[in-house]
This record gives sequence, structure tokens and C-alpha cells, in this order.
Amino acid sequence: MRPWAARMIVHLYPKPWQRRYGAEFRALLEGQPISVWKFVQIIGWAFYERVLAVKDVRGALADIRGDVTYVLRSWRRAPVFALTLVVTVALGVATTAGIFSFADGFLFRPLPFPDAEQLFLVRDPDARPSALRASDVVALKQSGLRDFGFAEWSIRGGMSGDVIVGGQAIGALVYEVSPGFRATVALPLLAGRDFSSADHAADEPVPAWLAYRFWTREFDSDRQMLGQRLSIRRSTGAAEVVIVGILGPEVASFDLNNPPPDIVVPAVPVTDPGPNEFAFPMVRLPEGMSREQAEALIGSVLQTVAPGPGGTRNVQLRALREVQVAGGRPTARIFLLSALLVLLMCLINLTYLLITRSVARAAEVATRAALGASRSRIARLFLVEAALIATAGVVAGLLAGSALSGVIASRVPPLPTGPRNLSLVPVLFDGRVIGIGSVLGAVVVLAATAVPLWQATRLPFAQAIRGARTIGTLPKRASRVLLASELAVATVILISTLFIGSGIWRYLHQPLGFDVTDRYRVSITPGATEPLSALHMEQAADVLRRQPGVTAVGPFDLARAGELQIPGRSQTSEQLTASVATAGYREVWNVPVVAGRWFDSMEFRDSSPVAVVDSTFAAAAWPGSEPIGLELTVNDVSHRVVGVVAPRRSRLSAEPAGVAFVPGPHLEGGSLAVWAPRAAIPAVEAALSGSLPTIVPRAEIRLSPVTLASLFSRDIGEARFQAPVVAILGGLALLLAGVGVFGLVTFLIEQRRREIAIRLALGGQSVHVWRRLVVENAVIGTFGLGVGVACVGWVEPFLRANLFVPESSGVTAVVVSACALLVVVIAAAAIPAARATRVDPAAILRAE
Amino acid sequence: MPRTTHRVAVSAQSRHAGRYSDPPLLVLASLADGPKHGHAMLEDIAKLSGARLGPGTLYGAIARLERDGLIAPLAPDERRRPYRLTTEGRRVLAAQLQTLKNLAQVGLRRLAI
Repeated sequence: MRPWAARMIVHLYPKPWQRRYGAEFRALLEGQPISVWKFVQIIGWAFYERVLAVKDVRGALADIRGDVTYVLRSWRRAPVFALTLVVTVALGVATTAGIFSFADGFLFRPLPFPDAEQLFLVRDPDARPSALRASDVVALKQSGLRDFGFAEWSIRGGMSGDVIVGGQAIGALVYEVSPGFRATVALPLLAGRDFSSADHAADEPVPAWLAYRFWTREFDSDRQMLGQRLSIRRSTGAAEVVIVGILGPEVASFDLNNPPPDIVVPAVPVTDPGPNEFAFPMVRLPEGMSREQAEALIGSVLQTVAPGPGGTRNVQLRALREVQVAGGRPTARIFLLSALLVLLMCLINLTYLLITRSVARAAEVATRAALGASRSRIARLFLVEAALIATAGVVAGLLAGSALSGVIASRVPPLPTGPRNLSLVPVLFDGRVIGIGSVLGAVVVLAATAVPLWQATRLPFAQAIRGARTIGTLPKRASRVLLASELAVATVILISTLFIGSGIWRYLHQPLGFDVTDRYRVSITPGATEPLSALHMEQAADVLRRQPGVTAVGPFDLARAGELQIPGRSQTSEQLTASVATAGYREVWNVPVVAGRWFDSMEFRDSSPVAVVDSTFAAAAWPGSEPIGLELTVNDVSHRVVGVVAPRRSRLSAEPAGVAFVPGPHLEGGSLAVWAPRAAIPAVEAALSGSLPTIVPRAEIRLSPVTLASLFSRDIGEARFQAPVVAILGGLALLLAGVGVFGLVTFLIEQRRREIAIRLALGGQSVHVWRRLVVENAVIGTFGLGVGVACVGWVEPFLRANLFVPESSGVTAVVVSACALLVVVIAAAAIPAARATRVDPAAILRAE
Repeated sequence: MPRTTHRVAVSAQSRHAGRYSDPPLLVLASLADGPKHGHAMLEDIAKLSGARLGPGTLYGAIARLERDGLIAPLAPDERRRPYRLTTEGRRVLAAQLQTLKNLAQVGLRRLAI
């Protein structure tokens, strides 16, 4: 430890202790490194020694009680001011704790399993979708690698269904775990027991664990659920499970592509899985084995027990924690940065509030000092007030933070956006979060108390007792620094919020290549005996077309057309596909024709050898050429390109693939799309319900509105989760900034009342004084804005790296933010400056 | 041998098994074979018990033992000051170790070790 740090630490102890042990203690500290934990211990011991050093404990307690009473009485005299202090701290603590409960799992918290760094996910880098075949895993389990504890966690589609709770059917997603799963991944169980080897059998009732969230949400955390039986209603019949355990709150899921489980059951081992079954097993490496060694060992064993068609078998191990947290880390970073900025705003506002308080108390503090109060006695008064603010603010903040954490947890999207899955790590508001929130709250209050405390203990007493309203340069200089800092932080927040917000908006409003407004999906489920034919679909479409208000009817989905070849190109990219478009497709989705034309009715009926391509297809297939008139081949039939349409997005998180459309005669599949205003839909539904039984006996129809969410359920969850949180955090920070800037400017101008009075008394015109005040504050504000814009240059790469929208322009955000904040500063200066120049100078000078 | 959850859970705690941490007693035991200064005491205690005391904890124990008259300071060697056991300290240490010895014997007998 460095000598200056050792010297600082020794100063924490009482004076007699320092005299007796200080030198040797410093020598000891300088001779070794000090961890955070040891530093905390030293603070604890220093506090203990200080308590021991107090000779008159009862007297000291009485003094502190007096200080507490004094502070509470001053709060009662100015309840709004006291409430503002507490609310400011509470706001910062609530935001930080609530957001930290979400971000902690992705950024800092280790996995809740012992020796979790030894857990890895096994993948096959040469296969698609990077998964081992289920038969590979069976072979590995039977090989000499049993010590790796191959464990699987997978969705059990056949078991998922509706659970009847309190007479209501609730959808439940059922996962299964392989035998010995908890031996490898020691999932914490809140109650109940592990699955035994006898449980992994096909008998009913199936033993099951309830997921924590499902248990708390649907069963009100009722421990009596243990031993209860639940019936799961599935499409293939009912299944009965008996609850034998409840998973701990630390457990969410391990499946990257699906929502977290509601129920977990033991898997029935399959000894001979099919060739198209895949698995993502987890392993626990034996002690002392590195990842590279394990990859080589598993790969070589796999080569022996399940050799590949050509070449060697490779496996890739990915640390389980990395797999779990990688998808949520960007969002967690952005949220945490926003929360910390809000906390910073709270610190700035609290500092300014406490400075104004210390100015108001200057005369009183000076009187105390003049009557013999020591500096430590005065400092204690400030510290007691800080402790009371911190206690009230932290308690209120943690209560609000807990509620915020609950809201965040309920809004975490269950489905991933591309590879980014936020539901693999639970949102936990536990002792760790409470501890962090409390420490941050205490640090903020102590830091905010530092300036007024420093000033109060070094007050020019004589001047203060005379009643001067200005108390030296420190509060004034500190206030100017605070004003510039507040504007710098506000600039960063506003620009970042606009940057993120515009990115999300652009992501959700990117051109789709079709319209979704007033579109409805008509799903037709045929009766048990009669399958749905293309003719049925045509007849249903005719019924729909005849209804008043219906603009267009067409296919909901497109069918693949077959093998695509482009003459002159040896290999067709996998990104280019051919689809069959049937009558009504372009009309119902309002697909824009960019060049040439769309198919006519004859071409649909005859399946003419013509094609329409989208612009992505044209650019990829014939770069730099005019596509109309060129040829492409679908199923060995040559088609002439007659038109180009806008590309249609099938994913928001990926660029659209190029599609070539060829005309087809019949609607296929069980879904139609209809374009009609909402008001016409009940009549459309009634008409279809009346006519459909004559077309398809016992058929069921369902009309559902087509929305962005229904079309892109796997792409919009994160954006819709991020947008309100970022907007609320940004708005909160800006509200704090606005209030802070206004208060600070008012305070700075109030401090100059005497100077203003002298200027006016000497013949200065009000408007000139007003202009001078506004310009001075605008200059400070502009300086802060400049610092903020410079800081944005540092934050922008961080934002770009963590946003899931890859590109967003920041220039507009910078200009809009700078202008908006400059207007705020000028407005904040203009009002109090006008008030200050309207006063009677004689009255002010007489009072001074 | 199949890996079990029980073994996994215990392994995390077992790292701390076998340590003994009662700072004043450890300081007394460290000074039993002669005077030592703070740094030497930390090293000796780490060897004796497996527990590495922090500087704050060590000086908390030293201050307490000196107040109780169980140890006494010697003349400083530059900035380091050695401490020695007092007669009372030696007596208290012997009594405490005897109690621990009896406790250990009974405990081990009951565990049939």
C-alpha cells in the first residue's frame, strides 16, 4: 500500500490510538497489499476504537439525540425542502437498485451453482445448427467420459399444454432434464427433492418441479403445492404430474431459443434417437482439466464412438455463464449506464440543495462556533443530517426499487431477439441488490454533504454573524461547477436517449415491403374428416371478397416454388429463394412495384413462365444490370422477369433475403389475409361463419389482427422492452436536470442581489443588468453543453456497441439536444434575473 | 465414483475447513515462542492456523490484549514495534489452550477419529 493511503487510513482511528499505534500500523500497512474486504475490516475496527475512545458515552449519545431532534425540527419547519432532499436520494436509489437487480445477473453475478466456471455447453462447430446429434450424446454418455456428467435441458413439446388452476386453463411450458442433471448443474431447489433415477420412466403421474416464477404467479408461493397433482391438458390427451420440488428464484432457463419453463420433468432416456434429433448438452469439466484439453478429449472420443462422414469430429466448449449472459449484456450495460447517470443527477441536485441549506444556516453555524462549538461538533450536525437523509432516502428508494424491479421482471421478453435472450437470467431483488443500493445511497449523501461540510467548518465567522447572505467563494464556485456539470450530464443523457430512442424507432419502423394496417389473418381449421383443399381456400376467399368494406383478400403465407437457378451463375446463393405468389398477394399486402409490372389474372390461372423479383434479389443476382427481361429458372422451367417489387422483410433483426415470385393458380395452406377496416370485421366474420360450413363442413375460423408483434414476435421483444425503460430513465434524468438547472441559476442570481442592487443604484438599467445575468449563465451553460457534447464522443462507441440496432445517426440527436438545453438554460436564467432586477435597490442595501 | 450434488456443495465449504480464527488467541499463541512485530505475527499466524488476519483485525487484537495486560510492547525497531507475552498472558494462553485440548480430545473421541 502507498504511504499516503496508509496515512489516510491511520487518520480514521482516534487521536490517542494514532499516537500509540499509528507509526507501527502504518509500517505494517505499507508492507502489504490491502483488499477491499480488509479495508472494510479496518474501517470497522477504526469505528470500534472511536466508540471505545468516547469517555462519556451517555453524554455523546445525548448530544447526537439533540442533533437528531434539531435536524427533525428544521425539517418540520421546511417540510417541502426536507421532502425534496429525501425524494432526490430515493429516486437515485430506486432507479439504481431496480436496474441493478436486472443488470447484475448479466454483468456481475456469478451463476448460482458451485464451481460454475467448470460448466460448459458442448457444440459441434461443423454442424448446423451447431448442435451435436442426440445419438452423439448417447454415445458419449456410454463412453469413458461419464465423469463429464453430460446433462441436457430441453423443451418437451409433447408435455406442454394447459394446466387447470382454480378452474382456469393456464398455458404451461414443460422442459425436461436428463438423468443426473443436478449432479452436473446443481440447480438450487427452494423446496422438495431431486429426481431419482426411478423418476426417469414413462410412468404417470410424472414427477415435476415448478419454476419459481410460475409457482409465485399462479400458486401464490404456496408450499402446499408439494405433493399436489396437476393435470396438463394437451392436444394428445391429458397427462398428470405430481409436484416434487420448486426451483429456486436464481434459476431461469438454459434454452437460448425458447421461453423459460413453467414446469420441469425428468426425461425418459432414449437409447436410439432419430438422425434429425439434436442436443445441446452441458458438461462439468473434471478438476484440473482445461477447456482445450476437454475439447480435444471429447472430440477424439466422439471420433471413435460416432465417426463423421468425412474428416475428424470437432467439438467446441462455450462457458455456460458466457452463453447465459451474452445476450442480455448489451441491454444491461445501457440500462445500468442510464441508472448511474440518473444517480449522478441526484448527487448534483442533492449537493446544490445542501449548499443552499448551508448558506441559509451560515449565521446560525457561526453563532454556535462563536459560543465554543468545536469544528467536529459542527461537522457532526451535518453528518447527522446526512445520516437521516440517507436512511429515509435509502429505505424509500429500496421500496420503490423493489417495485421497479418487479415491473422490469414482468416485462422481460420471453422470446429472444435473434441470439439475444434476456430471459436466461432472472431478475433478483435480494440482499446483494439491497446492499449495493444502500451503499450507493449512503455514498451519494456523504459526497453531497462534503462541500457544505467543508464550508461550514471553515466559515469566516465574523462575516457570517454579521448576517451577510453570501458566504465566500466556495459555494459560488461550486454552484457554477455544478451548473456546468448538470448541463454536461443532461447533454449526455438527452443525446444518448435520443440516440437509443431513434434507433429503436427506426428498428420498429423499418420498411417492411408491405403494409400491416387493417390486415387480418383468417385461419381456417378443417373438420376432422375433410382436409382443406385449394378449392376450399378459393371459395372462402370469394366469400370474403364479396363482403362490404373488404379492400383485398389474398394468401397469408407464400409457398416455396422449388429449386432456383440463375443462368450464368454456377451456384445460387442460399439467400435467394423462389416463392409461388397467388392472386391477391400484391393487393392484400400492398406490395410496392418498383419497376415493370405485377402478374395479371391470366398469368395466375395459367402459371405463366414469368417472374417478378424483389430489388434485393435483382441486386444479388444481376448486380448492375436491369433485371426486366432477364431469365431465371424454377424447377427447370425458364421464367422471364417482368417486374421488380420492394423487398419483403421476414425478420426485423436480419436483412431481407432476395425472393423471386412466380405466379401460381391456387391459394394453399390454412390461412388467408384480408384487408378491411376494423369496423367491417364483425360482419366479415359473421358472413364467413355462415357460409363456411357449406364449403368445408365443421370447419372452424378465427380472425386475428395482423400486427408487428404477431408477425415478428421473435424480433421486437427486446426493442419494446428497452424503449419504455430508456425513455423513463432519460425522462427522469432530464426532469432532474431541468429542476436542478433552474434551482442552481436561481441560487446563483440570488447570491448576487447586493451586486445587482448596487448596479441599479448607480444608474444601471434593468434591461442591461438582466441581459448581463442571462448571458453570464448562458456562458456557463454553453460550457457545460460543450463538455457534454465532448463526452458524447466517448459514450457513442459504447452505445453503438451495445445497441441491437446497428446503425443510427447521432448528428440530429446532438443538434436537437444542444438547442433544447440552451433554451432551458436561457429560460432558467431569464425568469429569476427578471425578478432580481425588479427589486428596490435601496431596500436591499439597507437590509445588507 | 459418481459425482453427487452433496459433494459439490460441500467442496465449496471445505476450502475453509481446518482453519481457526480467534485473533487474540492467535496473537498470544504467536508470541509464545518469543517477541514479534506485526508483520512477523501475520506470517506466523498464517502458518499456525491457515487464517490470514487483516492488519485492522491484528491491531484490534493487539490493542485489546495490551489493554488487558496480556502482552507488552518492547522498544521499537525503527518503525516496527515488537510485542512480548506478559506473565499473565502466558497463564491465560496456557489455560485457553488446555481448554481447547480437552475439547479437541472429547470431540475427536466422539467422532471416533
